[in-house]
Amino acid sequence: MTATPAPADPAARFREGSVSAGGTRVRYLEAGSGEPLVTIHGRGGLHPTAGHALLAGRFRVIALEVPGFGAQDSGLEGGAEDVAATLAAAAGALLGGGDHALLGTSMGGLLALWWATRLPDHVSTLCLEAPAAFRAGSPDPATLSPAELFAAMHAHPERKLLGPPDTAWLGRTQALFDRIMGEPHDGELARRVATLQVPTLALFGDRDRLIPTSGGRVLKSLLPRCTFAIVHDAAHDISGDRPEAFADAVTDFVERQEAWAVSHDSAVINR
Amino acid sequence: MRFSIFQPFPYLTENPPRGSPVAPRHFDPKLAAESTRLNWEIIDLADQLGFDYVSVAEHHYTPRQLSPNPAVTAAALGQRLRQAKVAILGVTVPLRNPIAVAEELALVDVLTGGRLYVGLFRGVPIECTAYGTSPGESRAMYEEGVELILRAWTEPEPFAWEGRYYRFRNVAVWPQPLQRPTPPVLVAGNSRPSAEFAARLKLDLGLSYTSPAASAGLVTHYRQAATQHGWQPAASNVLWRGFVHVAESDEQAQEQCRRFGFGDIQGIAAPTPPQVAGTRAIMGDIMQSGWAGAPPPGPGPGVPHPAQNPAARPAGGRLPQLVGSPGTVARGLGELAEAGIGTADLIFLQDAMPFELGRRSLELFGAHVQPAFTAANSPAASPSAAQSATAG
Repeated sequence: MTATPAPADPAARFREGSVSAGGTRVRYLEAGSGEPLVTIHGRGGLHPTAGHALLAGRFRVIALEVPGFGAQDSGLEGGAEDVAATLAAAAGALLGGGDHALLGTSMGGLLALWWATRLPDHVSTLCLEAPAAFRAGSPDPATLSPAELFAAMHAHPERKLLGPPDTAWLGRTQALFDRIMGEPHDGELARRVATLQVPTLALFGDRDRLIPTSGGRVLKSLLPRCTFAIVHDAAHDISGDRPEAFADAVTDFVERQEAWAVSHDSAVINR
Repeated sequence: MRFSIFQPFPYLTENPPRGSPVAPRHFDPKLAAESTRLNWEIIDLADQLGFDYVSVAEHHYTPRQLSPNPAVTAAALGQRLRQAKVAILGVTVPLRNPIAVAEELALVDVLTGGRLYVGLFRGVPIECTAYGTSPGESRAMYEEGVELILRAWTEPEPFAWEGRYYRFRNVAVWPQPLQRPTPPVLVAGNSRPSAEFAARLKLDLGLSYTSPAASAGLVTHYRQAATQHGWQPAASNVLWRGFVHVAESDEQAQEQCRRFGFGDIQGIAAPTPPQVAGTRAIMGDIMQSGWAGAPPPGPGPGVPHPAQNPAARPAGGRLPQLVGSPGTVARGLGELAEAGIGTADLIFLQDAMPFELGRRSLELFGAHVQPAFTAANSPAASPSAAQSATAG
């Protein structure tokens, strides 16, 4: 029997950099070329997935690290809106203030929404991967057992390089995480996104037990230009569970927005 | 126990055309019209007898069931049946566009006033060739298709679906089914993985042509899997399909079945002699492509149907389970009830069986078998109730 090769490290193609934004040093990983796609990670920190690596084949991917989620504390104050402002300033410094597509994962999705409300004229397209905004219907992860949490996160762990959780790092970053996440339903954010005209793709995995697909209905009710998409057979880590589907969906939506519903695949078999 | 008559409008003739596929040149419009009239007659009788369902299914390129699109048949049934519900058992999901299936079935549920029972099946191997469906991927397509159909009925907002086999960018099914959250849904469960799939999605289990012992094993497995997913099915969640023939005596019923090849399910895919080599190649390829361990068909792929050679009858040598006098059939149903079956989906009439014998079988069933099981409308009959049925 042929042994299944171990997954490659998706971060291998990314190179590290840092940029100063408002007195805060923001670390990032970058790969690819072309139109810029800025990404914001989730609770687990800056670890590009196979899906992000595939996106780097089509975009200039700039994966920002939320200050305080790296090796050191950042001293960053404030909640999600303040953190988003810092990240947006970092991206502005890297991109010379140009337009960009924005992709946020889970906690990063919440930050991306705040970012888009602050800079709607510069965010060309917003993509949300299992976004942790407006999560009143979601379970509290603290109530899940380790096995339940693992299953909620990963539908296909065999496709990933997973190590044991860094409990010391999780403890150190918990307070910042709690400040960013805030209340399950932020009324001010809901008010701001109600006028957001940025085309938005909200991706939810149908095996995600942390941010279930019901969240897509909430976003559709709040955002005027929200496209709700279900990624089949993916848990919370959509870009890790189904990287090809994730990259295809994000790429197509960034390039075409709502027109992604129009098929350009030829039906001709042979001329 | 509830009763359903499986009557997918077979082409009724003592000499049905055979083949895999059956050449359309054999289609006789007058015979088709007469078959349709006779099918309606037996359906009306079942409805009058108080059958809970009239069921149809999807099959292609065969006169055995004139129902390539069961939604069309079901819609017609819904306008005719006075009290019975309509069951589509089932749609062959891998052959179809799941969103179109969701739309059609929702429409049928609306047109029938919320009387639809839905079966979502994977299909028989040979029908991979009907529309060019990949046999090795059909199980995975089937499972994703089922989940997509259920999602299309329950997702209140327009959504995109990014699956492995299906991609839709803007789904918003109208109408939605009348029955909320969905009509009752059944999936085929003749294997343990299939039973586990049914249990995981909290769907009904459909067994076909299984013995009481095999049925009991699959039902047990289904219940154990359901427990792991936080629910417990009842007998009403389990349906069994099989042939039934009731006559005045066991001997008469058995002789009639043998004479007319009643219950020979292999005839569905039986090729004509010139088709044998080609059919063997096709079936061999399908099985080798990963049809997921399905056993090869009965007497072997490519074996001419005994009807091609009258001297070779009776077909297969083995009779269906429920064949005999009313008492014998009642005892057989009692065994199935003990195995956990709550609904029996019964075939009374099929191609070569003369209409009058099939009708008589249904009349005897309605008079002498059915009452013992439906008096209390309990989902499972006791063996004592079966034994009390009047023998012919």
